[in-house]
Amino acid sequence: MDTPLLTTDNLVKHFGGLIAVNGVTLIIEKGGMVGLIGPNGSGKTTLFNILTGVYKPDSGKVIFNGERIDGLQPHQIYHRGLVRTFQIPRILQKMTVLDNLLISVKNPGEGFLPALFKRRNWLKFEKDIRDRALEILGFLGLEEHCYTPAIELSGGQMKLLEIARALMSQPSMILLDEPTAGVNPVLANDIYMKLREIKRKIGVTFFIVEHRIELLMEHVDKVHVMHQGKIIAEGKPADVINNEDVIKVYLGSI
Amino acid sequence: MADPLMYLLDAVAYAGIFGIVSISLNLEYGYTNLANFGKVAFFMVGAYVTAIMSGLKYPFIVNSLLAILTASVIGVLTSLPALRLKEDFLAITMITLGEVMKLIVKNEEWLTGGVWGISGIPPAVVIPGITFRERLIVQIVLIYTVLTLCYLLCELIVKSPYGRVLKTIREDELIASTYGKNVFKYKVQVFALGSAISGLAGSLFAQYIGTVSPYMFEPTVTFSIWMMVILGGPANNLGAILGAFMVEGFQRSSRLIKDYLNLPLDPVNLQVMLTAILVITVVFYRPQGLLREKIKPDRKPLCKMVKSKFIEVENWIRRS
Repeated sequence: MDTPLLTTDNLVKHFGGLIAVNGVTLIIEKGGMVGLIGPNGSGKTTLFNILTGVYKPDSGKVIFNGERIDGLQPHQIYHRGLVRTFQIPRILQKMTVLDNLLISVKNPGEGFLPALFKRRNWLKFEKDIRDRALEILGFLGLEEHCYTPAIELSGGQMKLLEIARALMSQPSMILLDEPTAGVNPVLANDIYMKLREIKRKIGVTFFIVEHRIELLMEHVDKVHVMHQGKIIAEGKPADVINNEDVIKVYLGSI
Repeated sequence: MADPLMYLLDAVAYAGIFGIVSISLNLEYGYTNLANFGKVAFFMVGAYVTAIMSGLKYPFIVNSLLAILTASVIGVLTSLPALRLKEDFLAITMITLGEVMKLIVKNEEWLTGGVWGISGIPPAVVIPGITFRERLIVQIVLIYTVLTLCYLLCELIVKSPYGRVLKTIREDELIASTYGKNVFKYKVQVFALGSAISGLAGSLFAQYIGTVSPYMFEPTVTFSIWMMVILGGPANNLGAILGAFMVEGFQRSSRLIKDYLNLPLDPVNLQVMLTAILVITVVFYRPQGLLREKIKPDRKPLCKMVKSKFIEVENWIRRS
């Protein structure tokens, strides 16, 4: 068995007196599609923020691909192959949809001097990634919008754009923070089908926060349940859904 | 007011110099959203370095290169602590920097001539035996060459992937860092570049005026540069130059008008009031500035666009 892609060891994060994440220990295998559920305020997004370096954990370790990444800056974590999307889409409003995608790639024209003096170099690269970006946009049904300013997209399209941007960077793991929030049911299902297709194609690992339980359970192969900063249950969707603790704090009696 | 043409040429030269500064602020504010309210400090550093060096009989090219270097070094040194601040605090810090630099210049008499400043700075291009007006035209050619070069440089930068990263930082810093951009590094670089360009403009200013004194570099200069960018259109380099022309023209014409008006209030105050009204009107009714930012790319390159227009005209002639 391979070493796990991401492990966290006893992560703790306080905000003043509030303990947002209280000793989270996770193991996520390579190539999986893993869900994370839990009531509002249970620390899911904070956990994501710690994993991607937005917050520094008060204690505990994060190991990604056999390397400690806690305490690194977000841009350093990106270069190790871990990206995320946001619950409320953070799109670059005054830029085109295509540019929104292109920024997520490490580009030889991003240095100051190469941008000026190695134009031929990055123009060629730009052409390649543009094709790839158009392919991804086509896959997610956004290709006719590629030159529209991103601010003109609808809410659901913004969600898709976030996913497209995360895919564009070809990471080994993507953290999705509610990829279907505010999206209509048909499109939501569609998004999951597409995520699965992507996973099959390029072997990326997904870690998904989601509130649409039925939908999530259909598609993931493992679920973690968080409550008050702790993982209270984990396992196969069918087991978790019948776990008494989970029903009590989150699912209610359906 | 002897010769209206001279006044006009002088205004054109001024607009060119401030156009350069305004482009540099556009790079900082319009593209990267860095509220640099200390522009005048870097402009002043450029002017003073040129003045001091020309006193030591160095040629203009050396002076201006040194001005660029000094301004960018000061830019980097101030940006290292200042850029860790949020936008509004950065603005306050930079205003203070402008004032502090002015005070330093005012008090270090051994170097800068104190309140008297330095005079007798020779122009960059000396052609013997030409009239004052011709000399002015030579100056204008020089200034506009530099302006064009700065414009081209900034256009190249903002149209490259580097510029795209700058825009990403402007839109959302968290996204920029999530997708692997070292935001702090980019900010420092832009700050250094912006300061360097304003230092160059200061250098041109010093050799154009021929004298520098601390009173030329009041904080109000910063605000008129900001007006140029805001009126002309942030994130549009042509807009920034247009803004420089507008603000310069507006300030000059209101200065002229007040000589002919008999008003119950101090005409200087009237000028300030009119400026405020202008800014408020533009920000209120056209917040994106006169020339708005181009978000969609030109599908066709310029030569093809010209060519297609040409063919259109040709067809039109043939038909008629």
